[in-house]
Amino acid sequence: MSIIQSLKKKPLIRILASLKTTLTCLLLLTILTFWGTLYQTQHGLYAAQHRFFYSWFFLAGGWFPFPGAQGVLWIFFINLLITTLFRFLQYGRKRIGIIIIHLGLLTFFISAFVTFYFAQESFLSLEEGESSNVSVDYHNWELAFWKESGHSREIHAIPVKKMGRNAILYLTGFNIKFQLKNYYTNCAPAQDTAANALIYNAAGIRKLTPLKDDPDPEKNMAGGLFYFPGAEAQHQNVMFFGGELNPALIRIDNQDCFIQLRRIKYPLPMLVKLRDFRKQEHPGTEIAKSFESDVELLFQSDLKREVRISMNNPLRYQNFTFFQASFHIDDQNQETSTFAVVENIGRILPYLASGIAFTGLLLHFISMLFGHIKKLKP
Amino acid sequence: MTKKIFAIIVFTMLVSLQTSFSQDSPSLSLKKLATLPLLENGRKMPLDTYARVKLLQFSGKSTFQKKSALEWMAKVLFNPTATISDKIFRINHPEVLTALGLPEEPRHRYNFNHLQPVINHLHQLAQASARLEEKDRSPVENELLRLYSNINMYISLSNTFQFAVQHSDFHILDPQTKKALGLDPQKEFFSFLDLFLNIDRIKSFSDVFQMKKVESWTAQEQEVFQISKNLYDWSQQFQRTPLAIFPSWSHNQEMWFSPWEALLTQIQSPAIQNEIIFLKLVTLNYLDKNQGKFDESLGLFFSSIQRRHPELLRTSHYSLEIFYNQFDPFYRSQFLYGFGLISVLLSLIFFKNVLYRTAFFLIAGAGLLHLSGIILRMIIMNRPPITNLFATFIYVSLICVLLGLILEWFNKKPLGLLLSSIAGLVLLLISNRFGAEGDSMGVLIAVLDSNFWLSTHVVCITTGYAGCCAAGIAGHVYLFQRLLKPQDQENLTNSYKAVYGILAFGLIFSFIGTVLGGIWADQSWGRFWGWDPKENGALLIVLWCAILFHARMDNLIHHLGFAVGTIFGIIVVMLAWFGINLLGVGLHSYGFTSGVANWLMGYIVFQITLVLALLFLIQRRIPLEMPEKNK
Repeated sequence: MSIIQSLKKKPLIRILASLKTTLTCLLLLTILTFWGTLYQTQHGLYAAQHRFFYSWFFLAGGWFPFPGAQGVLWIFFINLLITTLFRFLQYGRKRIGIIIIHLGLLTFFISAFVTFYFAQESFLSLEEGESSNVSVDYHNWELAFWKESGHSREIHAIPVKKMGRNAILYLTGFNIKFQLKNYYTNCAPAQDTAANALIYNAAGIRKLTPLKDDPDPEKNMAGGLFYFPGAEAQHQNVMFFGGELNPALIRIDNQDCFIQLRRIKYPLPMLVKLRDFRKQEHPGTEIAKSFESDVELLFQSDLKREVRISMNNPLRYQNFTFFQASFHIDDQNQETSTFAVVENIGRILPYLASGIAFTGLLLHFISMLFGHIKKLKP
Repeated sequence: MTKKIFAIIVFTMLVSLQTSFSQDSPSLSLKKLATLPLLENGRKMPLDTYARVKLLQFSGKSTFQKKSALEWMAKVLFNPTATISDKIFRINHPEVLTALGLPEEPRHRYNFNHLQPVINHLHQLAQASARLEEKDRSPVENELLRLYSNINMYISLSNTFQFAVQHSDFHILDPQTKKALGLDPQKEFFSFLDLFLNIDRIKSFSDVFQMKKVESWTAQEQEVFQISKNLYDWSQQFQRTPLAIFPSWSHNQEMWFSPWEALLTQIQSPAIQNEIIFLKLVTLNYLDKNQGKFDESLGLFFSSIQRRHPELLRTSHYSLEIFYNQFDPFYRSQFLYGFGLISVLLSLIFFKNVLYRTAFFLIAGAGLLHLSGIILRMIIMNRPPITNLFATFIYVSLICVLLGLILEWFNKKPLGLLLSSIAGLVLLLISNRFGAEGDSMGVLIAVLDSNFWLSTHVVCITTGYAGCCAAGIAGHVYLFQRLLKPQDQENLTNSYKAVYGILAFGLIFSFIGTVLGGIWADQSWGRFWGWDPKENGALLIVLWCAILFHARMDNLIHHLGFAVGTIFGIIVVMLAWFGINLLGVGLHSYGFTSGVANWLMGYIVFQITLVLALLFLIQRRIPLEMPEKNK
């Protein structure tokens, strides 16, 4: 008890453990949630997430610093941790239900932090009969390098996010130096005959027009200008556009190298082949009743497995989960199925948190019930 | 004596309620027709339901001139000319009247005769409205589109069985022509079907039409040409009529055809040909008012369909659905809640005991009716209670009613009865608006097609909405008590405890529902939480309740502040419940609504004004820091 008393006297601990801090965090979260929800109507979910919920703080109206949900949640977490600890030491079994509910909330926070910092979301689109062992990022781009054009090739890639503007980067495996000179998160190729003829592009693009980021970031098409000092003169300034189908072939230090700007690709622990996609509609309507994909998984051990992935029935393997996300049927009736792929080491944490919180609720009700029965006894 | 008065009051109310629903007996019993199965928007339903849905869409009411929707529908289908003076088209916006140059009619309802002269103009206005993006349309443009669609539907329905009746387009005088076409020589007028069944004979004239010059055609050839032209025009005009009553399997897929579609595309099947002839007999016997033959021909049609596709016609729920339609439990409950509310309010002034007991029994009776309605829907749909926005209203109102009744059972103060009757009446009245939008038991999209999650997450979160709404209503009662009887401390404390307890109930279910929603999202989309608007709405409720409880713990607010907080909690619930749907973004697109934004804003302004006015009056009467401090 004496430890608690001495800790409680420390001003910082007193502030962090106070109910007023709890209330401030709750109020700020309420404001952020409401504001962030309204913001989505104009700017989309992705922009709202980054501005309001994933940030430590942001500038409201362009000048007023306002705490973001990430900052608020960390303070709330510390507040909850200290108060739960104090209450546990102070009340022991008396308020065990309430304490366990708060422990559950703490686990929710831990789960949120683990997911936020470590989870990876990507997608995998396959036509019927097609297979792949990589999934693709929704938003982020990378510059990929490879030498061989065959079926099997060694690819080195650097995410654009990690490239500093104008800093010289060195790709060790390929012995290539390069520099990011200009980069747009969303752009379109423009016709400009007066553009710099020294700029090289595999598709003949000479100029990129920057565009406003789309509320749906999957629609953004990145592009930029890169400088390769070791390349031949006509290949030193290379323009890449995310919408290009083919890579640029550049001769650097007497070796041919394929380079492409593309969405980041993540390796999967198996080869996934789409065998069949089925969509069922409610009769007489175009309302989807169900859609499901039969896929074949081929592991490195040559082990094969057939799995059905449908709405509400994902495929789980190690830390990966594959969800039936969407589909496309083209004019030739070729069916494409798209899976959302999530790699999350903390996948189980929300379930654990829910279990703890529900147990706390149950214990709280049982203790309340016993309390009432005691009161009723003469 | 008191018991007698009580019994008389309840009996009178129930009898008056019964009388208000009694209907004139129809000239022809449509009991068998009511069970005619059809497919509409992916759901199999009896014709009785279809008729109600259409009449509700047209007129906003489920009966017409105290007659059932089915009677009206039968007239439209079999004897459409008898319905052109029926005022069934409701026009909700006065600017639509101005745009169409129509005079104002009582109850804003118009018949086909009123609208026929302006159909072309309406068509142009509707086309212009349709070109706009849905979000850019004004209420007037939406109303124009709705009216146009309703008129088109009415015209299509009135043509559904026109193939069966004689028409001047198929008038044949020449006995030789009749003979050549294999027609009854005694008749002059024929139906589309009479001729279509002899289409091969008409086709045999095609060589003549191609080889011979028009000037050299005989009178008979000219008559046959005119008939074949009319047949072609009719088949083009009516090929897309509604009422899919012919089930079939095609390419491994279940398909349903309307009578015209079946006639024009499936007639080569002898079974379907027979069924179309049975429908002709149904039509003619309806017009002849021959009950026996009408039922017999319908029976033959049913039996034939049943023989062809027994697996598509498991009609065991149809009778139950018809019972549900006719019983109309929610409509009846509204009356009882209304009477209950009047009784409980009057009990505060006079005949305290009698009126209090009357109110209790009326509200409990209404609650039972209400509950039975929800159970019937669950059995008919084979689903948990909540599948769409309409169902959330009837469910939330029931939970509020039950919470009020439980509170009343323990408290014996009228707070619980007031809560039950107000919540039951107001929320059911609001549900009428959503019920009138169409079939309230529609099919579910793929992601919602999970009875497990519908019965866990959706039920929990909606129970949470109910708890918070009920706490807010009880909060109103507390404020009025505080204004009118501030000296009654015992009553005020009891009311505060009730508000506190109900909000705790709401918080627990909102929290469990939100967590379960996260688990469902993790199962369906791969993330527990994604800051989607609907998720945020649920979180806002949890956060708001948590703020109130923690503020109370910290003595930052007292009884009055807590009650005011619960009232604002209703606004938070409204925003989360359907305000979020107005944003039109996010993954929960199944519940998007339109046209309620103004209503919602109006409610918020009214609510804030009411609370401020009450607080002002309370403060004028008694200082805000009443002796409740530190309680």
